[in-house]
Amino acid sequence: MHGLPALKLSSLARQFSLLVALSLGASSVFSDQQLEDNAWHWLERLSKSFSQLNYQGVFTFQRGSTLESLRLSHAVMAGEEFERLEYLDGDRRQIIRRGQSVQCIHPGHQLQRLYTEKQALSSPMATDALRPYYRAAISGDGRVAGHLVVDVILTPLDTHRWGRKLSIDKDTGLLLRSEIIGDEQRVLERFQFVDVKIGGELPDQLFEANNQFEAANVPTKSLDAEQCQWRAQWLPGGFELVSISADDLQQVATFTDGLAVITLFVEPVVNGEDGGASTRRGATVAFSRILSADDTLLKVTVVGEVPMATAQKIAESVTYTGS
Amino acid sequence: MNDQLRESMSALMDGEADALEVRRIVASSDAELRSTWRRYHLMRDAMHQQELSFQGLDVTAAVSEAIAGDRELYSSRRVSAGSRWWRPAAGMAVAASVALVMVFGVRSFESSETTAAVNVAVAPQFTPAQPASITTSKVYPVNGFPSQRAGNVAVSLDYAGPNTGFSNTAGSKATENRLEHYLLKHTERAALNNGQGIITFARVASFETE
Repeated sequence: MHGLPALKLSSLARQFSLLVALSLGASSVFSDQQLEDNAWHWLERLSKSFSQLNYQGVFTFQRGSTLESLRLSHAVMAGEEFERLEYLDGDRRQIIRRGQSVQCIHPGHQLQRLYTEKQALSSPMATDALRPYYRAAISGDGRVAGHLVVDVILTPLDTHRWGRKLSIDKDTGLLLRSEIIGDEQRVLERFQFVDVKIGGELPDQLFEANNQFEAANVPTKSLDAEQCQWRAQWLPGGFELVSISADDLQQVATFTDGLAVITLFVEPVVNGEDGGASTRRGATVAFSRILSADDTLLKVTVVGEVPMATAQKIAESVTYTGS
Repeated sequence: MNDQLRESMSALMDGEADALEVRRIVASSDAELRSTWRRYHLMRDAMHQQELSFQGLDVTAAVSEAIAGDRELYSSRRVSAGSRWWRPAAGMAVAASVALVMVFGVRSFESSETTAAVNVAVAPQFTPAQPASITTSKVYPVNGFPSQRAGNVAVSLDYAGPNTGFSNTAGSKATENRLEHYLLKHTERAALNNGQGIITFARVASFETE
């Protein structure tokens, strides 16, 4: 065996052990690699299911000591997605989506139109893009909201992002529970269905938007990276720019590795505004600092579901490149 | 990073560290220490490398008061339109803001040992020559940072304490509104890109009113 490349040796060893295990009649003889491939397979199923299936259920959102309950309805009709998210606790807020139009209804306020910039509203998880940065493994079976699920753990391969635990319905591939895991295996936030009905027809009236209010319309436009007078010099591996939008107040850039999302805000400093502030809410952090730009000051804020050190590093890497 | 290291580093920043402290810091392999050290200098550099004398500035009394009670550290003087408070025109006020930013900076580490009292104790000693300007008052978290939150920066869903899951530095309503704005805009984008869709909006459900 001396002189064989290490890869070949371990592959041989693997095949040998597989053979031995089979001959011993072991029931479940998946190698590590096969288990991992299975995990990715489940993630691919998940990434399609949430946009393609009809479902309705109640889920909880937990972070710190707060717990929110929400009802979610989702249907695909004539090739278009319809969704309704109702907040069951506190104020009666709703988000209704009909195709590409999303509205947020909050009593006492004007109807607010979300996603004022043109954006594709349905993007499945790009599981291939995740592979270099996360290890996926099936940690076992479980049961959530009365459905049998498979638990997939995503472990980040660097310290710039958090891990995930995703519980996927075995029948349909729908995500029934999702956790963001921080340091020391602490759960930073959790989404979990408590009751869900998958499949079946949902009435169109369920997704009726309330057209009584005037929607506030803030003009925004898209920018290319070259049009910005600043640049983030450092991003964790795998994070790509998704879009930059701008309105009168600020420029907003979004980066993602396919799972974690970071938003960068650049805006002129308002009188007396502070800098160097950091905030955390569950898995979401925000870090801001002041940047010198010619003869003005810019405030740079990074928001995302990443470690604070990551947000800080990104914010501090932003430089002013001039016009 | 333990208290001893923190104190030694503060002393070193002031140029007051003795040989033992210097050795302790240099020999330390604590990653957090390096990060803190870097951050302190980053802030200092942002002041355009002004020669800042820390001697004779002491805001610890004011900060301690803020922790103990509800006293707000805002001064009635507002920064006038267009003024560059960041520029060291008022060198002392800026130095004080650096001190408080440092207190803040140490706080934001995810260290379970961090407490408000400890941070204040190791802050470099500053005495503002004038009443704290609004620039200094805005930066610190101390006012809004009850010590029980400070004890557990890494929020755990199993944490049985009174933590509402919202640890932050926002001292003013305006800052909080700004934060809500950032969170909403971020959530809109996160819902599109994180593979989980509209359930992501559950994150903006909890509008904390304090």
